[in-house]
Amino acid sequence: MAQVAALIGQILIGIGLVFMAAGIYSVLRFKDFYSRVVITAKIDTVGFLTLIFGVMFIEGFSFFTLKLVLIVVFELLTNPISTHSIAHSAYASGYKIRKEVRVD
Amino acid sequence: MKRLLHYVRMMAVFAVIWVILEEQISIATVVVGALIGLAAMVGTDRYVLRADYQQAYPFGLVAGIRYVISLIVQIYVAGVQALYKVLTGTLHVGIVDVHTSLEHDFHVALLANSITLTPGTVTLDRQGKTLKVIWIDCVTTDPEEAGPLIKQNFEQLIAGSKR
Repeated sequence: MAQVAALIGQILIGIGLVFMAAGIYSVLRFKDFYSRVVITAKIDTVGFLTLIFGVMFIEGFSFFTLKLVLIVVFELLTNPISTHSIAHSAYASGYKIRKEVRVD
Repeated sequence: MKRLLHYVRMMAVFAVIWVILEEQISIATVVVGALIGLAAMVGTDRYVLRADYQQAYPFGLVAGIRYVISLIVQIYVAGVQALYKVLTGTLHVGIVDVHTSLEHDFHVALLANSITLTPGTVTLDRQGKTLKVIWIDCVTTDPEEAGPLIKQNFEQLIAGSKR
């Protein structure tokens, strides 16, 4: 049973890394500031949450898992604030949306 | 009386957090956690907020847990959609106005945070009850049409948590 949970956990960590890799790829690929900001927010939320859930599955039910729950709650509270302040400062200083250039 | 009940409920929450941080369950840790929680709440009420904690942050405990779970589900649904959009390169970035019917400042802030957390949208600015949102897949710039697509069911969940 513990081995199955560990396997699920490792698969979840893998999925989280896929999300992060896709985010980094698209930050390098897209040139517009606003699309980059939106994609960076995606890395932080989806990738990080999946990774933490994977670690929870591997660890099982313990104090460590409960601490991870606290970490998830603080992440959900603070992450949007940092993203918002970066995006807001760009908007306040008058950035315009640039048309994406397709590089195929 | 209601205020006392709120204090007791929040003290229980703080005691649980303290026990998690201390990593041992005993009467001493529970009592110390509850007392530190009480001190933190009284200090916040008197010196930082200068108002009632419950009125400044009107958010129920059970409703909060339900809200977090639905938020995580929403993050994953939108995350997979955004992943597809990013990998195929079909981005259509635009800025939309979104009107909200929420009254309390704290609820509007929660809504803005949820919009930012959902992949594909980031809140830029707020004027009164109107939020400016960057949208990665901007199919419409009309506030009435874009509102339900961006806000999902967050508004009902936040408004329902008023107690």
